[in-house]
Amino acid sequence: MQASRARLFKEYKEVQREKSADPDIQLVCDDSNIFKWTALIKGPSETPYEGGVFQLAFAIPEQYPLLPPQVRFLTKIFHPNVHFKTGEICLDILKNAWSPAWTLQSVCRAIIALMAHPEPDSPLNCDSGNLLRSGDVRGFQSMARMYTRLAAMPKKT
Amino acid sequence: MEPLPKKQWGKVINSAAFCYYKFDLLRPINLEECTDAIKDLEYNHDVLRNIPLEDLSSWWLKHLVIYRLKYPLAIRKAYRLLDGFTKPAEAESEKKSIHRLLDGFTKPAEADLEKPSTDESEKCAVCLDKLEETGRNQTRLVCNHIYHEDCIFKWVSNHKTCPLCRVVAVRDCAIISPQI
Ligand SMILES: [Zn+2]
Ligand SMILES: [Zn+2]
Repeated sequence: MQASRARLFKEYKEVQREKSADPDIQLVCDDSNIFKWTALIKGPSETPYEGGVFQLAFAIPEQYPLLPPQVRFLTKIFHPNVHFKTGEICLDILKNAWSPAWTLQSVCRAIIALMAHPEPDSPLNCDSGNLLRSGDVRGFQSMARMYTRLAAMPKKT
Repeated sequence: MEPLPKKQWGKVINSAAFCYYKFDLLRPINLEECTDAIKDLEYNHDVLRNIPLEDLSSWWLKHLVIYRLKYPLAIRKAYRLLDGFTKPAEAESEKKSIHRLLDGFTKPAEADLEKPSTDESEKCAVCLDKLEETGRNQTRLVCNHIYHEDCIFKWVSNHKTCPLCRVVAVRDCAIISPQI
């Protein structure tokens, strides 16, 4: 508990210091609980997520960094490796390939990379995975783009 | 960084080796590590040539090599390497997009290149504390990565791999190389 708190505090300071280093990622720690973080990530360019801003929720276990953080999308996203309802993410480094050398920041980077490179063979969203697996890239992209517009873009007033 | 055995490169995608590289390139790196990665690439060039470019480029090149390359020297090398691939005509657009990706990197001032690597390497990757100054026991794993003894022990007692490079660092729950 003490170790995880100290480590998270280090990450917090790092995030404050490097705020401008990665403009695609904005990590924020909960005011009252250092084990709860949220992140805003920009959809990568040349993907159906371009132009969207996606919110992630981090729940960090007390054994962190020996155990990975639990991360899910709060913003709806149509992606083969993200559960459409719960926002759960299927990504190796968040499960068996976790290593304590990852940080919340680098996890965000890995999620952005996953957005750009879906892995349709381990789908959490079957509709999305099936579209890609059947070779219907256009169909997949138009669905994904539609949900990006609906859920991840600020409404024009 | 140990070069990967050549025979592993044929199935670099989805393999453990792949995770190793993916991991390595996603964390902050310094120039030295950067050029090491490129050296590995060159070392494995012949094998890489035989991987279909579409496999290579989408996951491998973008992720593993280019994603974290910030340094002009390394970028130049990456270009050269990229140009060395013999590729079918239809892969041209893919090549262009990789080039675009490379162009997107902001080049650091020359002065930044001269500086010795940042203190990143002197931190314990488990607790992110500096290795020195803290007066705690350190342990060097077989791969030469150094951690606080208590930090790495907690990890290797369950996983047996180095958090930074995933080399199998321990057998039978004992750290092979002695404390420094
Ligand atoms: Zn430590
Ligand atoms: Zn190592």
